[in-house]
Amino acid sequence: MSELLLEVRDLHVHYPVDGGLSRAVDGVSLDVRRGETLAVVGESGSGKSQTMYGVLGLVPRPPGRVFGGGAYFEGEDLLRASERRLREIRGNRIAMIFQDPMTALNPFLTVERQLTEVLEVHKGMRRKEARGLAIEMLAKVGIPDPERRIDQYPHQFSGGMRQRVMIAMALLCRPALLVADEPTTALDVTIQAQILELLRATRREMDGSIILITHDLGVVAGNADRIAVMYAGRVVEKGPAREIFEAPLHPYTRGLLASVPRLDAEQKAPLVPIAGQPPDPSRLPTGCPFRPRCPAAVARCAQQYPPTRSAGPEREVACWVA
Amino acid sequence: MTSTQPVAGPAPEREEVEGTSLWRDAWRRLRKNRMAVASAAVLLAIVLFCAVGPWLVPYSFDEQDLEYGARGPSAAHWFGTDLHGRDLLVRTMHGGRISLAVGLAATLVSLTIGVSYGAIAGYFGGRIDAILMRLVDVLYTLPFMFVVILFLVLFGRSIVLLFVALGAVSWLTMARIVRGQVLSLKQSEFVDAARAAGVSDLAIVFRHLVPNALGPIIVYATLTVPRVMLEEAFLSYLGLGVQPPMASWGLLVSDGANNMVLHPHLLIFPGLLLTLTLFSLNFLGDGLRDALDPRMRT
Repeated sequence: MSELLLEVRDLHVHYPVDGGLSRAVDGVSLDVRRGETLAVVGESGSGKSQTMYGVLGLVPRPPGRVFGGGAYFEGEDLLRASERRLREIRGNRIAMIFQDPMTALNPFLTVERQLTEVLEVHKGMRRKEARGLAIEMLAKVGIPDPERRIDQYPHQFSGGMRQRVMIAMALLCRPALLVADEPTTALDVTIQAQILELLRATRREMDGSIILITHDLGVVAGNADRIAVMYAGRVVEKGPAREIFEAPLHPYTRGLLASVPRLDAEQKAPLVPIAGQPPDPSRLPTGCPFRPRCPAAVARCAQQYPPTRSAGPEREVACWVA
Repeated sequence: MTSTQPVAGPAPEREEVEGTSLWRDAWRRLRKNRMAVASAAVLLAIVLFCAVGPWLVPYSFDEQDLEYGARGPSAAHWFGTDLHGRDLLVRTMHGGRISLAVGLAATLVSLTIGVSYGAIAGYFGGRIDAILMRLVDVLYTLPFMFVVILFLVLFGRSIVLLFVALGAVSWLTMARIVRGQVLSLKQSEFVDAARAAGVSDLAIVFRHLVPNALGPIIVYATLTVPRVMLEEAFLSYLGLGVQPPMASWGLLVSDGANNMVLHPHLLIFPGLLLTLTLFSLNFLGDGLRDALDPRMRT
């Protein structure tokens, strides 16, 4: 068993809304080991990104509230760290790449400025020195002619190239943990494959861990060691990727898998969508939040939230019937 | 936005535009804008005319020749003379000094105080925003003339006071404009990305957000110049600003307007220079706004 890099315990992220409370993240526990990729899977609004925002201190406070058992990164509790300390960690020890590389780069600054800024902030480098490293990193993520491209603006890059720039920016300080928030969602399928391959190669080379946040199980397959499935601000199922793909326990995970087209399916199994909509996090139903959409729901599901229980050596599930 | 061609692997892409720094790039684009270049040349000429001109004219701005009053342009007096027989050419030059200085000062104040004030209020939001912007609201509601008169009574009449009074009000609207811009810009993902990269708040405000708001900032700054020039004229007309025998364009124009039927040259010459300056500023501001947006390809 390898060492834990990040350990999130019972994390909550709440936002006040008109006459109520939106529980974007409602008691999430996760852990990431050194050198592994953890995929956090769920629909939009399931709290995947908010969990990471909460850990990194990026939740706007006020109005947001972040509390819980702790978020231990290399032994240090980030929930109780000062803003100053968090700034030292962000971009340096934990880096993040975003969904839309069109908007995540500042349109008014050259790529050079945006890359060197990170090194100036964290490594106290001079601009010239930082520029050399930045060019090196651009070459490493597969940007041709980096000496010339580095002086250009984001709009002069294509979508895939911009995501490569984002990745280069994230890797500059050699972070121990890379959080990839839907890194391929805004890209064409062929570019998606290239970016995923780049992330895989990166992890091998840097010996770091990756949290891959996605709603697309197709992206998870072959890219993640372990999976955490989130629904309505909670982790409903957790386990090694292979086991979850082969034998999903939670009805929601089963639903997700049934709604993804598979090439290896022998029989022409129809795609089955999950009926209904995810609940409004400010008006969660009593009991299990998935109950209204769940094909396997029983009476008990409406009364009490199912506790998370162990289901095998490395597996956990939160369901009464599974 | 620009078109983005799909890239098959790390194949070389050619781009015709070489990137440089924002300012060098802007300068290159600005030079291609003929209206902006012409306006800049006109402005430069006007500044030189006002700054250097008075030494080249054999009259001083307060030298009267009552027997030679209110004549039209002649070889001796190119712009003619005013009612007191003072040379209008040298008076227009002197007036330009005051008017341009007032415009420059107000622009500097609104670019420094107004932009940082508004950007900070917009970015930090919440209580900081509320306090900062209520202060602006209060300053807005104070009757401008009342404040100026109060200042005059307290500190005595001086040109410095004129600058202080105009500077004090010129940044208020700029602060509101920048705050609004920053308020919407801070929702951008690149702000989240910068925060996730550990960039400090002040660096985000001044390095990431303010450049993105440059367009409206410049447009409004170029609008500020004519406005304060007119305000200066108004103050001077009321006897609170520049006093004869000193001159400013506003003062000369208002004098000219009083005598335009009998002596039209008194209105035409200073009016022409004022108009030329304002037009040039507008065109230059337009050109600057386009040149400073790296997404605009010219």
